[in-house]
Amino acid sequence: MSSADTRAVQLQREGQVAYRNKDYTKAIKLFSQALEIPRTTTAMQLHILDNRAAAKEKVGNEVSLKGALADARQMIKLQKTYVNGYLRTGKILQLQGCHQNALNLYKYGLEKLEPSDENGKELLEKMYEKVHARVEPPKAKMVDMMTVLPVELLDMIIQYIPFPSLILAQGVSKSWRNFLINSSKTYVELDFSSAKKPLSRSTVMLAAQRTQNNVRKAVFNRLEFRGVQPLIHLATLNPGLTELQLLGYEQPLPVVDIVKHTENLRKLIIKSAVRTQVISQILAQCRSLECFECFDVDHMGFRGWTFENKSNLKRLYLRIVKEEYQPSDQMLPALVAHLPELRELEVSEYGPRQTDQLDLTAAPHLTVLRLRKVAITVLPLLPRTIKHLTLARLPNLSIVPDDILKSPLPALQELDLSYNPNIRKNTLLLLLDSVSPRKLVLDMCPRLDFGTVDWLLPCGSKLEELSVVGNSTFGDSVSKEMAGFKMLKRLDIGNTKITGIGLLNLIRMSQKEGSGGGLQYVGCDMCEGVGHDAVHVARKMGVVVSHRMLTEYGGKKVRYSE
Amino acid sequence: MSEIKLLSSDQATITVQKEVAERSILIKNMLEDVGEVTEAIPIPNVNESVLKKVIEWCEHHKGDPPAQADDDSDSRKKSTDIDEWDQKFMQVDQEMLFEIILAANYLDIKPLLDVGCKTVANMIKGKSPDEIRKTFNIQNDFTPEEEEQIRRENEWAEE
Repeated sequence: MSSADTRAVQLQREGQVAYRNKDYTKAIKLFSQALEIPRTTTAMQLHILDNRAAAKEKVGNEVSLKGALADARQMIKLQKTYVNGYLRTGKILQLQGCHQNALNLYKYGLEKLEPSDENGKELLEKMYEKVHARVEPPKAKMVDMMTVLPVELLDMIIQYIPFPSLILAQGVSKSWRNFLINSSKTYVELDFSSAKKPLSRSTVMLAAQRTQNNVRKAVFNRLEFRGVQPLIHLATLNPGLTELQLLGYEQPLPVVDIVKHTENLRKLIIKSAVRTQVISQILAQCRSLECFECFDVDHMGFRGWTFENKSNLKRLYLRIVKEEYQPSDQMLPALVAHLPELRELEVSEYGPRQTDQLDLTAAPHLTVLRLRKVAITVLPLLPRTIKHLTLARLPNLSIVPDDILKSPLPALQELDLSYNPNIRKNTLLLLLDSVSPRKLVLDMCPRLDFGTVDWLLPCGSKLEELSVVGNSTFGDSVSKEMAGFKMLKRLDIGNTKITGIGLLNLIRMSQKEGSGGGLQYVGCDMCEGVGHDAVHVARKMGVVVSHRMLTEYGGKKVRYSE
Repeated sequence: MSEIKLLSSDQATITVQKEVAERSILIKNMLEDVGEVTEAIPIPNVNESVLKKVIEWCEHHKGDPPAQADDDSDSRKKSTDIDEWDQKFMQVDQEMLFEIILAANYLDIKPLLDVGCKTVANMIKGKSPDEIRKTFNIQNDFTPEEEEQIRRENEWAEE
């Protein structure tokens, strides 16, 4: 050993003693003195630099860590094949929080070590893996979102999840339950429509308790009578409730009591038995109501509306399923007289024979009128605002020209006269006088002759949909003429005399001459003249074709085939 | 086409078309505030792999019309339909999925955030608690008694 090295070793040993006694300042001083001795060997310098870096590292503040890093880097500079240089530098980088740099350094070191230095390589590889695992913990493919996402993002997600799924998800874990019960987004739309079992009092009660006064829509299915009280409680707590649906329930519910507590209800749908009197009470009670649909009305004679004030109702749908009425039942005229804001009126299956002309001009904004199976005998007086008119299955109706002239329909876009045995060509043309509807449904109107369509073409310039199901006069002879309806997109000619050749001609002509791109849909269910081949070709031409056949008549087995 | 540089949380520099980067309202506002920038814009909350993924989405959607400000944030049960490209894009492991959601939120890219939220919602919709646990590898930490009580409470919602 050279004399320089001997002196250096002397100082180094004193430094190491100070280090062990935790006097790092003294240790650093002694190591520094040792390093200042000229002409020491590289091995000696490396060893002392390592010691001094360790001592600076122990001091631990930012400045001394920088100093330690400088020493450690000096080691690498002195000898790139010396593993301790990398180990020391890497350790300090980690203490500084630069794990990625440490990883890069270990990689660099692995390239620079002597190929024979198995021991050194092993040490560096070990360190590399250790740090790598800390920087990137093994990628778990699955993550519980409750642990990684903030509440506001969880709230955004659950807005896309239907209510029953949110309820089920409460059973996942404590954190899920806690979040879902307390999130203001869970109980915004109470949708019990999928309930498979009767909704008990406690279910409704729980939901009522957990709402945070922000329920807007509530749908109850199979509500038990005992659930009414909690439902009223819920309505009281949630003044923002604007939509309520009461779907199937066995016992009649006190609907009036319920709506009494809904201040801002706009939409009410009842799919179970209600009496006409109750409807009247609801309308009297619930001034904010705009849309009211009753699918199961017990009509036990009309005794007038119980309210004086006019309602704000815009849409009313009544389907009457049971009735006992006086011949002079005046429900329809009274309805309209009390509902001046009405936009849409649909009535189905209303039996009392109405021989007087119904005056619907009392609803000056009416745009949609659909009467099905209603015993009117005279065409109602209609406001000029009507756009969609359905007068279907009205066997007693006979339309006379005078009545049509009293009700011009300049806004008409859609007309459905299905199942009216008495509708004739002239009546239809008079109804369509100077209008070009977009949709015409003329199913089962046997008195309309479609042996030619010349007569209909003048009002067909905007016609996009035409249905003449069950008309035995419609056949191949009009295939060509039909192209005159240049905008026609959907045509239903089910149960007519059309054949495969006629069908294909019809499609070909419409694609050639139609300005709207030609037919997109043709319905030809139960057309015996149309074979599978023709349907296949038609579909190849880009048209959606419905072609179902009743394969057995009369029997119980009804089978459809393509 | 002018380009800008973004600096990820793990110090990676990514060059991207300005138009693409501006799908992020955060970056767009930043650029409007500072004008021309030459140095990389630091995105301290997003690492390189996530940032690259987000940029991939922005590239594909750079021509999209700006999102309409419909924000009726309380309205429920919007459609969870996701267009086909986005569906494929979101076929990543859950860690990445949540990272993308967090990044979209931080960078203020509303349409990407919506796609992310819908993707997660679709993983939960119509599933039993057990199926959800399996999907996200969640431990059931209820006692049998608690579980039974919850089951009874929520019985009506079961399929």
